[in-house]
Amino acid sequence: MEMLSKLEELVLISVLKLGKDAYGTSIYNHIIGLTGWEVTVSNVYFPLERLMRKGFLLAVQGKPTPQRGGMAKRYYRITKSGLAVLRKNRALNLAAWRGVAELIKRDEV
Amino acid sequence: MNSPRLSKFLLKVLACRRNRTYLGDVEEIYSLKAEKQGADSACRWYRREIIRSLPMFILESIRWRIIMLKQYFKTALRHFRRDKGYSLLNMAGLAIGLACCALLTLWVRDEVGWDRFHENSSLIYRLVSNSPAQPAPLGPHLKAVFPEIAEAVRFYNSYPLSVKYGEKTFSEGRFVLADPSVFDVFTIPFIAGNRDSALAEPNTVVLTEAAAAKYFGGENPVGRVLSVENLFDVRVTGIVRNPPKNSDIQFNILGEFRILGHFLKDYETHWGNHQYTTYVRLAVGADAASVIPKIAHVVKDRVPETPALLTMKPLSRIHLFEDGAIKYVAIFTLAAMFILAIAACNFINLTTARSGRRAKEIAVRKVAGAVRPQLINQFLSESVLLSLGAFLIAMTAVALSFPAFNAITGKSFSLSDLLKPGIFLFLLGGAAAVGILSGAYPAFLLSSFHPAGLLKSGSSGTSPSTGGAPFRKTLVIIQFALATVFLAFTLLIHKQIVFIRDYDLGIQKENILILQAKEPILKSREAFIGDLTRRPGIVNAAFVSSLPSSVNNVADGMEWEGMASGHKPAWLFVATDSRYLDTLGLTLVEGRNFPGNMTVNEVPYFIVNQKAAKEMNLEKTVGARFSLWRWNGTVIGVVKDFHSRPLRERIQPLVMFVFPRVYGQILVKIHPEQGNTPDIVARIKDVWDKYVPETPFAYEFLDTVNGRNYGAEQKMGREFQYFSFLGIFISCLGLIGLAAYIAERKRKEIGIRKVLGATLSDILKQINKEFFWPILISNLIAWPAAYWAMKMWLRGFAFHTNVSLSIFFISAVSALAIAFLTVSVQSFRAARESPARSLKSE
Repeated sequence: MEMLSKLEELVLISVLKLGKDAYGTSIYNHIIGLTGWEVTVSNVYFPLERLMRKGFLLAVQGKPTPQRGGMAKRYYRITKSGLAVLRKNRALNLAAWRGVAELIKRDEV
Repeated sequence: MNSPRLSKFLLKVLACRRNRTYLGDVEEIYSLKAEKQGADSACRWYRREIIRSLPMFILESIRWRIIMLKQYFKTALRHFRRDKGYSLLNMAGLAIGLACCALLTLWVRDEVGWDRFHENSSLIYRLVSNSPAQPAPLGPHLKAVFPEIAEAVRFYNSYPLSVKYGEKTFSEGRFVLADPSVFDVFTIPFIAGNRDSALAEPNTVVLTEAAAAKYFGGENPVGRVLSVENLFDVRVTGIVRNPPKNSDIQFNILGEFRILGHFLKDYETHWGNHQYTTYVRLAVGADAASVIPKIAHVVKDRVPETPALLTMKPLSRIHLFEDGAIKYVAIFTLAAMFILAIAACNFINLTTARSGRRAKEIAVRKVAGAVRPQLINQFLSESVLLSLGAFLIAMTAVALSFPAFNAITGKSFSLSDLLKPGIFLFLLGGAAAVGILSGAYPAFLLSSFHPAGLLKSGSSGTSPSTGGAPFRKTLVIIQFALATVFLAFTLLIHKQIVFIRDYDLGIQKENILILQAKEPILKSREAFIGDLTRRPGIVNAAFVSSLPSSVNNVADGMEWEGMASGHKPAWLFVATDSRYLDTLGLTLVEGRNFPGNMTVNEVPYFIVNQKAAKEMNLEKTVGARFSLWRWNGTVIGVVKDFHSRPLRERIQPLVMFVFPRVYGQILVKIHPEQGNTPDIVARIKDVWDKYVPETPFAYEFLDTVNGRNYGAEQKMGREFQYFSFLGIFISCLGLIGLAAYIAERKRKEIGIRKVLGATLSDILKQINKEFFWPILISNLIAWPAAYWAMKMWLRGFAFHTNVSLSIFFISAVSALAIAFLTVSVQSFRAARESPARSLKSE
């Protein structure tokens, strides 16, 4: 099965959550708000490209706005296989984390 | 509000404009941030974004380049496979050109590097007056008196000596004597023995590796003793590397200078005997220009009759400028450039011609969204790939041709010479440049056309196939102009070589054998000559001090009655006997020969040549009182001028007299019609063995020795011919390709013409016409250029042939003939095809 990197996973989830408003800037802001990481725009951009190549995302060309220096927005939509891979990832994560909460509560190693 | 300009630009470059979405996002976030946190903070964020994204973008762009390059190469390989014949033809032409260029470059580098490998090469000078031969005391004197002269070394090239070790005896032609300082002046690496003490003691020698192997085989030669001429022994003190071939310092055995004492007395104090090539090494920092005036009068002060002042010539310039190699270095350098130019024209021509056929492909690519840079890259990578292929073939060919090339040139190149970064990179660069140039034309031209036009007609009005025609014709003109110059030069060089070979030297040099005048023979000259001439087939024999046509002894201090005061003649001289004139077929213009009695040692008679008679400027030369050195005598004859020096030089005044003490060789005139040559030589050997049984019999023919004077030039002439042949061959390859291309393009036209009743010859004419004018024009361009170059080149020879009309005529006719033959083969094939087939095909 296709493995996603943490960043790819986050990006894909953001696209899903943002729905119709998912494009570069909104995804970037969403990830920063979620994680507080100092990600760069390219940190978001390259995973988006990769996810498109893998067929998990679709791009739709939007309208150019003056804030964007006249360059068009590109909106992203998650595809069926994108949903499938998210489901699998989630199941894997849940399975992996099962029982871990108890273990990491204790202080001794 | 605008984001920082520089950062913006940088980001654009990074993102390659491909990622417009990315740029838009960055811009949008920037303006949001600027609104919320102010411009400064937004700018900082912008810069951080760039710096942190940098590695990712670089990796990304490299990945894309590789993908594209793979794609270009894949397409390129497909085209090669589709047009195998054309690709091979094109590559072969360039490969031959590059290979020739590589060989010529190696040759030129070797010649230019002559004697420059010595560590102190820039400090070494040869002493020269009117010849390089200097008196023996000069070298040590200069070193003792002038602090600027750090070292001096004298050389004496002895005539062949018989050298014996155990049972083995060899006639050693390269037995050279030199001062021990030879190792301080020149770089001569030792294999065995000690450099500082090698020639320190009397009667010591060092051998080259080759000589050591010859005499001692596997034994260790150091400390062993060789016997020379059965007169004295020498001890071997060291083994040195064989001297490189591009050096004037050549020897098999290098002996300590005082060995000369066995042959010659008082040489150390005799300032009048010019016989020793002398080199000096200047002290570091000394200026040659300031040393020359100081030493100029050194010899003249002691021997006032010395004709020329002393000067010095830098070692590194001697071979090129004093010995005239520069003539051939220049012409070979030009040849290298010409061949490369021909090959490049050829390559560019074939590439552009072929690319014209790809108009449709380009149009389709454009329609499918290819942008210009991609098309340009496609064409460039195809031609660069071809040219690199040619480069690999060329390098392999050069490496394989080294044995043959070394045999022709007498040099010793190996793979390591080729792989020296200088030459290798030069050729690689040349190949790449030709590739880029030839790709550039179709790349930029074809990619600029509008796809609709290209698609509709395949070759529309301004299309590449016709639009490129003037360009290709120009290249054909250039190519053939160069090839014609080559042809003309080849003919000229051949003519000059024949001219020199057949030039009437004024002596009969055929069928003359040279023997060394050994001591026992000199003691019984009359008996030896008598014994020889009694045998059948042997016509005559004469003793001489130096060989005719390479007389190198100069005498000064002669006086005659009525000589103008202040006149200081310096003439060539030959010491010989009464048989000289007859043996060499010289004719007396006036007077008589030396008296026939050979038993006398010296007679006060002189014979001069016409040139000398003219210099004496007397009403009656014969009978004039004439004195030279300690003899007061009379001029008894004037001999017709003959060439006593190599043909590079003009005839000089010469005086002949009888003086057995300096006899060095015997000239034996044989008559091959009275018995074959081996028999006659066997008879001469009989006589030799009777008089000098302890020395092995060795002889040479005078023409062979003379031929050696011009051998270098003949060799270079021959080499030039090979290269010019290859240059013309490459031009023809180009023509074949072009003719094939034209024939193919006109396939249908030819078919229609045939249907309408055109004959085979009509069609041949039609295709040949395309080449007739370019080649005619190229001839018209080539002639004046070739004429001028030939004149310049011939100026380097004292005696030279003339640039004749026939050279131009022959080269023009052969260029045209070669071109038409090449083209006709192709057009004939096209013209013979049945129109039914050619018209049907699509």
